Amino acid sequence: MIKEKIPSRQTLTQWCKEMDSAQSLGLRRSLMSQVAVKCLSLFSLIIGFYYFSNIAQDWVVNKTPATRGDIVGLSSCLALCWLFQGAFNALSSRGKVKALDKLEARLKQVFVARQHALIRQHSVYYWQTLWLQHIQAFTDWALEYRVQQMIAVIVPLLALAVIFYVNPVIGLGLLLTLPVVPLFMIIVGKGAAALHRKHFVALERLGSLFTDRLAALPMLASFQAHQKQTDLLKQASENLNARTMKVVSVAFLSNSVLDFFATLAVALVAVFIGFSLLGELTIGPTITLQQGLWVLLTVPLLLSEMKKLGQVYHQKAQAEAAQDELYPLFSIPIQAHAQDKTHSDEKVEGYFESINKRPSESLLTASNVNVFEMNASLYSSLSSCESETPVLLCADRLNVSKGDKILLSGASGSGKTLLLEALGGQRPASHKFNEPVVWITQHPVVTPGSVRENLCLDDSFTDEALNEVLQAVELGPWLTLLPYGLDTVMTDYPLLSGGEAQRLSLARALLRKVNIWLLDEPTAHLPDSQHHRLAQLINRLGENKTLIWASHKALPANWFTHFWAIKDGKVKVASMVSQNEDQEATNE
Amino acid sequence: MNNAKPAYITLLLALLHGVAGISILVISSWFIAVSAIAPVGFNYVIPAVVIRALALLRIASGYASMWVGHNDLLARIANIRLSVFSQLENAQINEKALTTEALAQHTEELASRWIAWIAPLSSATFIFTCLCAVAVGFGFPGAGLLIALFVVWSIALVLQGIGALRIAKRATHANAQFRQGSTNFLNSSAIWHLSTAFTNMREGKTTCADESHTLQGPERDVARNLETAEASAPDINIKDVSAKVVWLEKIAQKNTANRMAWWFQGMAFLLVVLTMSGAFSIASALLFTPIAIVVPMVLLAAPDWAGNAFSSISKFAQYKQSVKALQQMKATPIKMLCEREINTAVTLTEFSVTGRRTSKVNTNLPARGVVCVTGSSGCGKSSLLQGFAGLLPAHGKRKIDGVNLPPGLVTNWRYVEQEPVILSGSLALNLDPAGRGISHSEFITLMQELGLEKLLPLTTWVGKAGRPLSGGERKRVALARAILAKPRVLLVDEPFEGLDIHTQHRVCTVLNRYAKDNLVIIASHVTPKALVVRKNVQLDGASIVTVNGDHRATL
Repeated sequence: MIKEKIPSRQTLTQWCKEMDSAQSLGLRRSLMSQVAVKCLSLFSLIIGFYYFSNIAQDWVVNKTPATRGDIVGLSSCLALCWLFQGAFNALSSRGKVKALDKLEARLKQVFVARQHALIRQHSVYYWQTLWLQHIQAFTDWALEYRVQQMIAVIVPLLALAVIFYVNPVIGLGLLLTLPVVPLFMIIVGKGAAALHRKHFVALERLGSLFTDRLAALPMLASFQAHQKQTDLLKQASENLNARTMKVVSVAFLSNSVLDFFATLAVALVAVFIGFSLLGELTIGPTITLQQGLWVLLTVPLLLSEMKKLGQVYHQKAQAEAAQDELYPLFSIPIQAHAQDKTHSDEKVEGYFESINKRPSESLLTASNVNVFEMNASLYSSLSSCESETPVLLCADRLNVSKGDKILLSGASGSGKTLLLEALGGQRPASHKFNEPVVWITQHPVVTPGSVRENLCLDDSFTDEALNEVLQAVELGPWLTLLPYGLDTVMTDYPLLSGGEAQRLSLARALLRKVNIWLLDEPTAHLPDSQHHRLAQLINRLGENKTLIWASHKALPANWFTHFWAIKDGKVKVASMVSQNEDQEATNE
Repeated sequence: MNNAKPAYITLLLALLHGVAGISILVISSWFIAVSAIAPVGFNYVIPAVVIRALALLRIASGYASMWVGHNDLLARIANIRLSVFSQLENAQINEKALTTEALAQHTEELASRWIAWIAPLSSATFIFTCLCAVAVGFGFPGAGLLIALFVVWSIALVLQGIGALRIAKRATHANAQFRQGSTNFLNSSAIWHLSTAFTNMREGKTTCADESHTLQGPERDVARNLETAEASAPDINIKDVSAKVVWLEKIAQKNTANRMAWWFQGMAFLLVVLTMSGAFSIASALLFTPIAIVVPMVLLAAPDWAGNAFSSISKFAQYKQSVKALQQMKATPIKMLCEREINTAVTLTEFSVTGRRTSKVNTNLPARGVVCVTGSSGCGKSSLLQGFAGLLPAHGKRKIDGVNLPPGLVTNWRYVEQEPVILSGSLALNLDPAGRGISHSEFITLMQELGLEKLLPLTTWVGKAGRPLSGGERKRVALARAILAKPRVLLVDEPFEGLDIHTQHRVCTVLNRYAKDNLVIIASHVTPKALVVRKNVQLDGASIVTVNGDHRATL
């Protein structure tokens, strides 16, 4: 199998910006409005603190109840703060739902554009994780972490401004010490990262041992290795825990630095204000209780938002992991773009053959065919960095006319499937068929629904049509044996042998009036006797279709009109005779 | 699983951390209030020292509680996992939905209960109780309101707990549904192109391509994206398969916590206003004394120190779900049978694997030599081999020399899977997972015979996060592992798939040699010429004979 390269990595923020504008996710707007609302909420709270301290001053110093104005001020500020907080919560969840919707829609578009060519590269579990968790991780980061990140910068400035206004001395003191906090955090963070790198391999290996051994349970049972592996797990988890603690002991310091400054700031400010009030300290302007209390209440806001940022810090790492998987996928240009290109920008490229000028009988006339890897963008490959897009397969000239029968040969892993995928439009390539095709793959798909559903999918056909095609693929006798005929439900283990399942997919293909059949080793997993029967069937049924048949099993040469061979990433159109010999030679 | 010792130290440190925090708030506000009207000779040193001491206490206990809590968490995870793992000795998890990752997550949820919700909740409760007791005991003005807030908080917690449990249940359900739906959907990727919705969409795209010509560059992209986004319902069931429900439940879980915290914040603010306005304060001896501002301060800060409890409750709900999931984990024990010598033959009569519609097999297998099971994919070759080895329950009889073998796994028979498991570990560990102390030279010779020299030395880490192995390499490593265990019967599933001719030949040589003294059963759809086959079992033509699924193989 030809390996596909992972594209160079962008930073998360850059990528996010791109995604946002490309997919109109509304991330930026949501982000800005959330930050604005949250800041307003906290600002009202700070003003509320002012009235609160006023009342306290009245109570304690003047020994009078609160004035009406103060009460109104306090209640309206707190109410505003509360309402803004509510609006923030609502905005946050709405923005997330919207972004998730858009991202899912986009993912589905990619699925539609690339189909089996994409899905077959990874396990179902991989796709599920990507779909369910990675998309969410990205949104969480974009709409939670980043919001908190901005708030953690803006709110301290706001608080500091108020403190400066009230008492410049305290303000100055805090201003001088505040930058120390991020500085320490960076130092600690770097230390923790270095430590993590040091233990990285061990942590990664030991961390996954439990799931690994769980997945191997039947094997362990049959080798009676459970005891030994339990001991091993025990040792491994001790080792893992020791290493993890080493890393987190440092990592926790970063949290403690924050806690240290937050707590000490409050304590020292309280003591300073107290002493100033007592007249023990006479630095700066004189302080009243009202001012002192206001400052005391505002000081925690300097660092509390940064603490909250620490609580969502894991989202960043998750989003980075998600980016690695999502980036190649989301950079896949959707089919529409490529088609657009062929229509509109022909003169610029000269790369695409004119589709309209082709003679009517010809389905594909192509020269300089290139097949690219999955996430190759035709835009970039054509404009600036053509050389950077690796070409997986190329061909000088490929012609397909209506009714052609083409045998595609090549060693396994040489790229037969890639070429078919490219021609069928599931893989980025310079050329593809411009009409629908039908695929028959190595592994026939049998969905858990009924026989009828298996054949119709989302279309509808008459029972006669269904019976007719089942007869045609020699599944007639099989159908009569089914308890409920066409409505028999296929289960996880359907009543089908491999050959029969492949016949079912042939029936599916026959139902659809599509002229081009792409056959990707349909008989690869069948024993020889079945291979011959099925191949003959395909040959007979495909008589008036255009066939491109990839196979490394022997097929009679007189079935075919053209022979394509793939070797070393090049498709060669071989002459009949030499191909014949070749074919026989490889089959021996 | 739950009987591990409670994490008292974690709890204590969390309490200390919380109490220190609130004490700083209370004492410092009182201190500056009292300072404002301080009588001459007021001893300000003690409060100032206390404040600083509390600050240090809070910082220290904060770090300590994180460290101890995490240390304890790791130990707990290890313990729970080990106990789950040892419970599964000689057993199989027969629930498909319960993936190993889910199991790992559940155990973590179980282990983290102390730091995730017990400690935060109990520290908040403790602080609340203490504050109420102190306020009432000293007769602070507004003590009644503080108690009212405590009551509201407790009720809100209970309500949210019930809601969170319900949401967690729904989330589990939605998750299972998504897994099922998406599995079916993704597995049918090869036939997506046949669905009409998809072809419609493609045509739709080409027709509207011209319209967007007027737009330029990125604008056109956006327009295109909008169009396609609207038209995205392109597959049979792509419309039905959506992770949205799962996400919505997750967001809902967070939202209820946020909403409750928000209502609680509103309530606290309302009470602050009520206290300050004097609407409720009864004539108290302490009215307008410095200590009077303590209650409003505490109320004002309540969203900060008591509001987090609501998200802890969500974690509690998740914990409950995990406990349930672990309890429901069903493991079927694998029965182990003692090895028995085979003198003449192994006979299968009317043998078929339960639950799969495979054909019934009647055959006689020699005590030594290679037996090849052929047939198309899906005809039940793998099932037959697994049933034969005792890994799958089966109907019919296995007989050794005419003596019936009860169902179960025979200790010295080995089955090599089609997609073999490679343990994350060193190569030596993979070759000898049971630690029988097989000599390293034996390892190396066999590896060389199988063409695996490239993987040496034996300390190479393979599996997850190690050297990646190709399909063929995995197969051969698994084969080597099985052969090194010296089984009497070796069952190999598709050993030649993904191997080139040369390597196939090497594998055949090894298998032939091993078959001299043992029975080797190979399921394969290709039979290399180099393989000395003593008997062929053809599983094909397994067409249905009768409607009720009672069909037999022609052998």
